[in-house]
Parts: sequence; C-alpha cells; structure tokens
Amino acid sequence: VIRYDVDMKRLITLRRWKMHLKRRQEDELSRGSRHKARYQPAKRVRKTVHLEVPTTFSMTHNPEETLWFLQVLKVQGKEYNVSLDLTDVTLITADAIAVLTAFLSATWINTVQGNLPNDPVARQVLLQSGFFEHVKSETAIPPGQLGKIKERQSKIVQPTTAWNLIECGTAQAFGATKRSLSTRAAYTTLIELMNNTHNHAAGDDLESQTWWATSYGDPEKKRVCYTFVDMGVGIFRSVKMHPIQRTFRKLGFGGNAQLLREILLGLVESSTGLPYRGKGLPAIFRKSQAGNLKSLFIVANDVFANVSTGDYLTLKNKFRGTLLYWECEE
Amino acid sequence: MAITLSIARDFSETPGPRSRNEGKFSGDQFREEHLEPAFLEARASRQALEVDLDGTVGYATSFLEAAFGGLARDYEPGEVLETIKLKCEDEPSLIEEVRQYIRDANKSPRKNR
Repeated sequence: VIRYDVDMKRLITLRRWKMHLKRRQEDELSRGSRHKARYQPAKRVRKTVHLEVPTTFSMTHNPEETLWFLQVLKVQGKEYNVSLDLTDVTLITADAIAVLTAFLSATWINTVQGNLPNDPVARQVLLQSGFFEHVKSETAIPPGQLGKIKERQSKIVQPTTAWNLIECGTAQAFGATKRSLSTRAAYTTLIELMNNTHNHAAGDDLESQTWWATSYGDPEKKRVCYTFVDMGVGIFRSVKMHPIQRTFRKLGFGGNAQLLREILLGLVESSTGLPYRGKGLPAIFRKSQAGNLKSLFIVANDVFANVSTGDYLTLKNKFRGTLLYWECEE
Repeated sequence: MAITLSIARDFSETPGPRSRNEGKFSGDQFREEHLEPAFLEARASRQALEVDLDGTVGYATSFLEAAFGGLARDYEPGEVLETIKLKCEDEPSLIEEVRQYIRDANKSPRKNR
C-alpha cells in the first residue's frame, strides 16, 4: 500500500526538491528579464515647446491674457514638455502664482521649466514667491530665496491652517502676528471658501475638490495678500435656480456677472435648498463692504469681478474653477 | 448667577466649518458637546447661559449657524433666545448675527422665484 501523504511530505521536505524549486524560479526570472531587455521599445524623447508668459502675469490685472496662457499651457503641456519664457514679464502677482500652482497640480501636465524675467522687480517677486518650487528653474536660484508666499492645500476645512496662513502673512507684513477685524475677516473668508470647495466645487462628482490658499505679507505696503483657488465647477453651477430663470439666462438675459451680484447680495438660494444655508459669499461681501477686506476680486467661470469697485465683467476666456483674491491692511 | 461657556477656552480658538465631516472644530461638534449640555443645564436650573464669543481668531457663518441655529431647530427659538446671553467684544456685530440665526432657524424653505 502506497501511503501518498507520507511520501509527498518526505519529498517536499527534501533538500534536493527545494534546490530544484529555487533553480527553476531563478531560471524563470532570468528568462523574463532577457525577454524584457530584447523587446523594450526605444525611449521616446518628448519635444519641448516654448511658451511666452504674458508681460502682466496676473489674474487680477490682466485676466484675459493670463487665462488664455493657462489654456495654451494645458493643451501643450499634455503633449510636450514646456519651457516658460518669462524674460519680458514686468508684473507678476501672488494670485497668478497661486493659480499656476493649482493649475499645475490639478492638471496632468509634463515637465514645466522656466527662466527669470529681465525686470528686476518681477525677478525678485518670482524668486521670493516659491514659484520655482513648482516650475523647474533653467538657471541656478540664489539660496534662501524661496517660500515667502505661504501655500497650503487640502480637500477639507482646515481651521488651524487658515490661521497659520494669517499668522505668517501678518508677521511678514507688520513684523509680528496680530489680531484685528481684518484678520477675523480673512479667517472667516478662508473658512467659508474651504467649506464651499468641500461641499460644492466637485459638482456631481462624489470626491471633494482640492483648494489652494496662499498668503503673502508685503512689508513695504503694509498689507497681506491672500489668494484662494479651487479648480472645481465654479460658483454658478452650485446655486439653485428656477427652470424659467435658467432658460432666461441661456437666452442671454442676465448672465453670470449679474448672477454673481445676486449671490453676493444673498438673493440666490443655496443648492441645498435650505434657507439657513448659502450665507458664506454674502458674509464675505459684507466684510468687503465694511472695509475689512480690501481689493476683493472674484474670478469664476466667465466672470471677473472687482467687488470693491463694483465692476463685474464677462470674460472671453473662461476659468474652470473659482479664484478669490483680497488684501488686509491691518 | 449664570452658567458661562467660552468658545475659545472650552472648545477652540479656531472654530471651523458647519459639520464634522467638513473638518475639525465644527459647529455641530460644539453644539453637541458643549452648547446643548450647557443649555439643558441652564434650562433645568432656570439660569441664564452666558456664551462668550471672544478670544477666537474669527468665525465662519456656517459654524455659528450650525451651533446656535441648530440648537434652535432642536428646541424652541424663543426659549433659546431667552436662555442664551451672548458676549462679544472682539466683533460686537456677531451678537445680532447669531440672534438672527436663532430667529430664522425654523423658517420654511424659500419658494423658487
């Protein structure tokens, strides 16, 4: 009688059997790597395209050209490596750097590199901004120049991060961290915007969108500049409208610029349909009207609004997302 | 005599969003863990509940609405207004804002225009 169980047990515990298994495994591995080496396709060298950055690279000062540049960057960056030509840039603002950072993180883009502007002020701003933490520099950057603009990103509301941005900004601008009605307004604004991005920016998607926020303290002008960006669906798809109202707007009566005014005045219902929701943007508007937030700009979809001066314009080049920029002087 | 509750001291100097799933230090969390127990204690002992809004770095409207408006949705707005006394020297306009949230808490949804 053959006792299979006992014999098999003896067999698999034998040293000879183990050696056989090891040799077979090694052989298979080496055969696989030989095959790979023989049939690996030739490495494709990606072409590099040169893109000229607008001379005024700013969402608040030159939104059309800046948005056009971002659209070109998106298209070219998907196919090629991109080299940004910043030589002729004369003005670069914190909001443009924030939006470019968000754009590079949110969009699938190949390697992006850039040079330095000839203009000494723009060059200094760029060096101090942390821009080259996101764009490869074509020239060596002097040490200790990076990261003056504090940048944070997340998908949820981060109260301590919001306060950290305000502390950094006020310390840079005024020499010490401070608390005032302006810092309270900045805190309210940051939390409201983080909340909106978490709840509405993703539209119908289940996953929340990421937000980017920056603060930059300007010691010469004694002010702190804040930028908040998300690359979500924008403000206008996250409000509730009557179908007749929607049809009217599609026919060209009352565009998004008018709608933004109404949202800020608290006249438009929140997408949740609950009367006690949707108070964030009206609260930001009130803080701006009270003078606690200076130079408030909103860019969303096809609308550019200088809220502080009351100018609401329709853009030719659309921005997929929402950007808010404001300054605090206390 | 009144029961006192300080948001900065008893909860957080950096109050956050509306609900817990949106981030830390939410209005819902404050209401459930601090405001509601203190409100019930004050109600049971027929005392006033003094809520001190000072000492924080600021407030989002959603935090205040979830905390105080939320309490008024669970109890009677009139009773909440009567029991809670608000103190805020950092930003006095917040007192009226919060009282408005309490008054509006049970408003029915607006009809679409």
